[in-house]
Amino acid sequence: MCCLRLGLVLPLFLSVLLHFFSCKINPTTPDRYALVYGVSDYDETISYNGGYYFSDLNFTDDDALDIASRLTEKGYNVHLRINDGSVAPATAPATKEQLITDLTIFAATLSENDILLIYFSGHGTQSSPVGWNISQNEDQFSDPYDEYIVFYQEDPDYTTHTVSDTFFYSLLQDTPPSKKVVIIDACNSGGFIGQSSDFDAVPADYQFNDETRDNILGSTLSACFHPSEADITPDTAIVITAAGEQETSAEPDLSDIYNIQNGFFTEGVLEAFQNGDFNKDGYIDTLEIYTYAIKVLENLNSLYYLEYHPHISGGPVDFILFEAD
Amino acid sequence: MVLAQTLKNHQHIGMNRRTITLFIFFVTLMFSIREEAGAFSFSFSAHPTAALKQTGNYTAKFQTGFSLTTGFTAPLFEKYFLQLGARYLGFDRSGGGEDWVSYRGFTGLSASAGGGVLFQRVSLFHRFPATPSLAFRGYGNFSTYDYTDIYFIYLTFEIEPMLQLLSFNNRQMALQIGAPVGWNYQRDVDLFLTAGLSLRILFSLNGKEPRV
Repeated sequence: MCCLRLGLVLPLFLSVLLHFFSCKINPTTPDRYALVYGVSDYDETISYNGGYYFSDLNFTDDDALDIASRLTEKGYNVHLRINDGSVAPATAPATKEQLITDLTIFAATLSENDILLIYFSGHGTQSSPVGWNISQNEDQFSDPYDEYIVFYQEDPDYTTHTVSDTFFYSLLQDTPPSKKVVIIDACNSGGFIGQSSDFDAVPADYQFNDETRDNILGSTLSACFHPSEADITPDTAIVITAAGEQETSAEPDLSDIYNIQNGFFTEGVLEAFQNGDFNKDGYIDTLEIYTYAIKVLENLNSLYYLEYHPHISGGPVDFILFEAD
Repeated sequence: MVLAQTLKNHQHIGMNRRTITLFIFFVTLMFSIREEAGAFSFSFSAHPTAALKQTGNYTAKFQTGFSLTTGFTAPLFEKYFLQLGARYLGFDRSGGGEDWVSYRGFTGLSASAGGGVLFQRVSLFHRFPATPSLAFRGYGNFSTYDYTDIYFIYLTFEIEPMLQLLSFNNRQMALQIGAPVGWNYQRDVDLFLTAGLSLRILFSLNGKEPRV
C-alpha cells in the first residue's frame, strides 16, 4: 500500500516542483557586452623563424563589422576593434594590448549576471611551425602545441601581438560575468576549447584524420575519471570555433556567386542570428549558433571542396544570447 | 629483499583468501538462484522522467525525459531478487529561466545492476491482488549532448518502489508500475536528481507467474 500511495503522491509532488522551478525565460534582458575584434591587415615583412609570415586577409574586417552591427541591433553594448583602429566605426585598434585593456576594464565594471561575448576574426596558428613558447598546458585530447590568435602587429616580436589559448583562459578568469561566450573564426581555433570532463569526438583534423572517433568510450571514460583543467574550460566560457585544432578555416571570395563577403564560419554565425531558432522558443542560444553555422558551413564547403568542422565547448549548459528575429 | 618477499607472500595469501571468499559467495548465490530458477523473468518498461539539475551559479531547472528499459530478473531466496538491465534514455533541454541559461538535452545508453526486496502480497481495494517490491539499482550512463558529438559519462543510483498489479496470458505475463527516484553523479553538475513513473511488462521464462 505504501508503494501505491507513493505512486499517487509522486506525480503531484513533481507538478508542484515543476511550478516552482519554472523554466520560462525572464523577459527582462540582462546587460550584454561584446568585444568584437577583426584583423585583416598583417605585416608580411614580419617573419617568424625564417620565412613564416601572415598575409593579409580579405574579409576578416568585414566579419567584425557585420557581427558588431548585428549584435548592436540585438541590444549588445558593442566595442569594435578593427586593424589599427583608424577607420570608423572601430574605436580602437585590434591589438593584444587593447584586448588586455578591454578585459581589465570589464573586470572592474561588469557584474556576474551580465553576458559577455568576445568575437575574433583573423589569423590563427599553432606554436609548432614557428617554434613559439609551448605552455605544456593543453587538455588531454589536444596535441602538445599551444594555439594562438594573431592580433594587429604593432611590433615584430610575436609575444606582443599573439594571444595563446592558455593566456586567453587566464584573462577570462578575471572577468566577473558567469556567462562568457568566445567565438573565433581563425585557423586552429579549436585548440582554444578545453575538454574538461567530457570528450568531443569531432576530430581535430576532420578532413584527414578521424583517429579520435575510434575510441570514443575509452576517451570519455578517461575524461570522466581524469578531467583536465587547460585551454578555456567550459565552466569559464563557452567557446565556439570555426575549425579544429589542426585545421585551417577559409574565407574564399564567393561574392560573384552568392554575394558572400565573410569567412564561411562567420557567414554561418550571421545566418544563425536570423534563422537559428530551431527550437522555436523565440531566443537564440550558443548551441543554436553552433548548429546552424555547421549547416551553412557544410553547404559552402561543398562548393569550395573544403572540409573543416566547427567545434563547441562541452559542459551541461548553453547561454541564451538574444531574441530571435 | 626479505621485506619485499614477505609483502609478496602476504599479498598472495590475501588474494587467495579473497578468491576463496568470492568463490563461496558465487557458489551460494548460484545454488540460491537455481532453487528459484523457475521464476526468472524478462521485463520491458517505459519511464517518463523529470530531472532537476543545477551547476555553478546558475539556477536549478527541470528537464523532461523518457527512457525505455529492458531487464533480466533472478529471484534469490524467498523474498529477494537480482536484476541486470539496459536502457535508452533521452532528456530535452531545459528552458532558459531567470538567468538565460539552459541545460543541454542529451541521449544515452545505460547498463544497470541491482537487486531488491519482495513484500507480502496485498489486496488492493479488498479485491485486486498486488505484490509490492522495492528495487535498488546502479546505472552507468554513456551519453551525448544533442546536436553535438560531445560524449560524457554519469552514474545513477536509483530506488524504485514497485507494485505488480495484473497477471495475464495464463499468468505468464504481469504488469508492474513503479516510481523510480534517482541521484545522479555527473562530474560537472552540482545537483542532478531524477524522478518519474515506470510501466513495466514482465515475461516469465518457464510458464509460471513472474514474481518481479
